[in-house]
Amino acid sequence: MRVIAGLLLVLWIVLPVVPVLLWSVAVQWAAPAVLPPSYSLQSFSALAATDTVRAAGASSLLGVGVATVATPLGYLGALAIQRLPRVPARLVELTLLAPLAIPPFALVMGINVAFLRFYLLPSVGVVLVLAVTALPYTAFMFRSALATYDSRFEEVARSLRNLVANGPPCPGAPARWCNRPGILPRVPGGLGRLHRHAAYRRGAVADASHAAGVRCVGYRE
Amino acid sequence: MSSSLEFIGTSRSFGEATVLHEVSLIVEPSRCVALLGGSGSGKSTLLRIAAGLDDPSSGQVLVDGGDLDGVPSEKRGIALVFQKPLIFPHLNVVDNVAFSARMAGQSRQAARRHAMAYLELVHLADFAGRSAGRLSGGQEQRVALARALARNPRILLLDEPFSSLDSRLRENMYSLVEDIRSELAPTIVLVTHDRREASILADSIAVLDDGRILQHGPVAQLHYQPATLAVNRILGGLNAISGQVDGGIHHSVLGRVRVQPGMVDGPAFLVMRQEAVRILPAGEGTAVGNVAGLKSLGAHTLVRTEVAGNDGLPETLTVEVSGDPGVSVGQMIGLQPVNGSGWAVIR
Amino acid sequence: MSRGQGPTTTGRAVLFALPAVFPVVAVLGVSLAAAVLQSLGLMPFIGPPSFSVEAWTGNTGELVRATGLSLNIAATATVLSVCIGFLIAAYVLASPRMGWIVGALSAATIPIPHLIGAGAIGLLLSDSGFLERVLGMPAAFPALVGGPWWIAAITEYAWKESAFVALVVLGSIARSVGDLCDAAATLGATARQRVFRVVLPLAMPSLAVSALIVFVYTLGSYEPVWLLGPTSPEPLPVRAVRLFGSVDLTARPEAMASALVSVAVGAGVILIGILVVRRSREFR
Ligand SMILES: Nc1ncnc2c1ncn2[C@@H]1O[C@H](COP(=O)(O)OP(=O)(O)OP(=O)(O)O)[C@@H](O)[C@H]1O
Ligand SMILES: [Mg+2]
Repeated sequence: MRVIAGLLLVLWIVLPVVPVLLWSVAVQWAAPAVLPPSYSLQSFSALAATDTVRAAGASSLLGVGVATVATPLGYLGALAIQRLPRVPARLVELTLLAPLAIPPFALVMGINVAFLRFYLLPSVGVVLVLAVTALPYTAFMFRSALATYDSRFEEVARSLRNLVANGPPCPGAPARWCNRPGILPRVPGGLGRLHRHAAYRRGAVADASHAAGVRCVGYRE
Repeated sequence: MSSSLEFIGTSRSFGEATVLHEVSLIVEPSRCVALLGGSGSGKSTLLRIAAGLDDPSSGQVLVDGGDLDGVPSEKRGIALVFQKPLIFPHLNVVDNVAFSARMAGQSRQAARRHAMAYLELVHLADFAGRSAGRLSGGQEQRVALARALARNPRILLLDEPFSSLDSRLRENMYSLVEDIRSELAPTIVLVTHDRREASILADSIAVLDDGRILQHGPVAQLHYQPATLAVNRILGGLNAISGQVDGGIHHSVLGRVRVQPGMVDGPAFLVMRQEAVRILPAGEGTAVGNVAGLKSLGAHTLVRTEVAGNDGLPETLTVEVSGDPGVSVGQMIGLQPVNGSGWAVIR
Repeated sequence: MSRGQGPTTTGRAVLFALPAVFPVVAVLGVSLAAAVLQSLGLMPFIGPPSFSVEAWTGNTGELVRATGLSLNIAATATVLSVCIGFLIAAYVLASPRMGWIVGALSAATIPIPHLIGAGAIGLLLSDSGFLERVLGMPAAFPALVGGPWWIAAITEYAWKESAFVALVVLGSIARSVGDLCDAAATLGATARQRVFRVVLPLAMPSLAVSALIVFVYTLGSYEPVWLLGPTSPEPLPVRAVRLFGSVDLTARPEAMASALVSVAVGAGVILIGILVVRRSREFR
């Protein structure tokens, strides 16, 4: 039962690719034959044709161009979302997501004439449009990366901040360390905090158990 | 309605690392065994194997003498309260507890009614409508306990279920477990780090160290007659005095102490619990100690003394006294075992 | 998570936001504005501008029909993608070894562009295509490619997007769901109950979000419907692109009107989707 389900899923995923693969190595493949009568790698030699190579080069160049624009912009956008107060952050977030909602063909059709009017270099225009459509992805990739960082260290930083504000002082740490909002470039600081926090916790646990007289030294650690 | 649980030569390896080495353990029906051991000793792995969530690399798990191999978890009738509470985030508190009844095909209403009884048992009836995300760690753990109990299991496996409760609540849970045992009488395996908890709740303690059962026996036996130094250490014993056994008598800086019959002659350690030694004025007792340190445990105090013998190196002997010990560092005191006889181990 | 405090942090954050937000606003703004102007004849490719609502009112019937068709295709494709995607995810979670293979294969199809996917489905489902040959050329083989029910196009969307849905679902719940399924099993839940009473509700938020994304994507996607669908009736994107590429430059305004309708429908669907998701979250 489970095996059948697995095979059906594999079939669903793989089946559409099969004819493409077969066609790519088929010499001739007329209608009723289920498999091509003979095979050759001839069609792959077409890949070496100057046209194909030039097209591949152009595509790669375009890809690199778009990535160099969209990646840093996405990072900045993610940072801004993390640091801005709630409402503006929401607005930035929605703006950066907006290109997902607009069909690419509509985007290009609309902007086509405008670029002509502005005498924008076609390649620059293409990179710009593609970068804008890539921004939602880069921004949200960085955003989730930052969020992971957040949950791991931010809570520690916050609890330490509370300790500094109204509890016993956090041992050995200048108050300003505990008061700064944590953010990516300060990861080393964050790690330090984590350690200090752990040390403090350990001490507290030991004290509590001693006070209750329940646990003997030397075992738990 | 309860069952016996039996591990026979159960081993488990993850790749190269062997986490359980031929563990054999018998839990009689309606008994409670505490599994005591340090972090990473394989306690959770053993429970997962019993619950059918993990398969042993070799060996068997028997319930009432029947091999569980190939029986899926949901058919084993074994409930496991995990180390993490694992509350279903999409259900509220009462529906979490009602989960097993729902899975068994009961109506939502009947399942909830059934669940409420168990929520009351863990003092969380007021939280029935609360969403799972808004509970404290201790409340989550109590919901997890109620959820497992609501299944009315033949065998209940508890993986450090009380580790995030405060001491008062923990005492409550201890008496709750007592109630459950007298009412439902399930067979219980309780994993814990805490030997006090093990002593309170369990009929017997099994010590697991590095994937091996070192000793399984009644609570007092584990404390006063440990099989090895490791068992003594894991049960919180602080004293192991090296010396020689000769004709049933252990010779050491503490002098001559009669040990258990059947002890072969040769080098051996005298294990003597810190609670089983008395401090006397200097000149009295069987040995003389020099107070080297004091450590408060709150109501109790640990007095660390150096005992110098006639020959060889001085040994450290720690004594636990209730209240103010009335001694100070550097003072010479007399020491005497509470019982006339002691317990020796070879390693 | 921490929010910026004090004017300096906020000011710096605004500076960070600008380089990302500006190009988006500029490109989207210019594009939409230009599309509106062109649809109203105010920004012709050649010749003097002259205001006219002809593009919007002239052939309303066809515009409405195209919209309905696009919504239908997108809805069917979304339902299929979500169901199959969830099945893939559940299978990957439920079976350790085979699941790994299914998951890897499924993820491997994600980088395939829809255009190639459409070609592949065409080779598979077309008249005397691979499937028909495998089945032994039955006489009753239906017209899947170019037929009235858009089956090939919808299949292509479902094929590509189910892999996407599975990826999103797995990414969002894979970490927590194993332990919760263990807990459910010890509480007596059978494998089937674990899938539908634990995994499904846990996957619901990510299913909802990915359904929204799939729907809006298929609504605005052009190649599969163009390659695999019948020539008429036309969905919105096909109509827009055909009119845009028409030698008759006067068809431009109508092309822009079609494009704008698809933008508006997409935006509307997203708004409704966000409201529904938020409502259901509050309800819980
Ligand atoms: N799935 C796994 N793969 C590899 N190693 C594992 C796996 N699960 C557990 N281990 C290893 O097995 C050993 C025993 O783990 P286990 O969880 O049983 O310990 P434990 O006694 O419950 O410890 P603790 O008291 O900290 O919960 C550990 O060293 C752990 O790293
Ligand atoms: Mg454990």
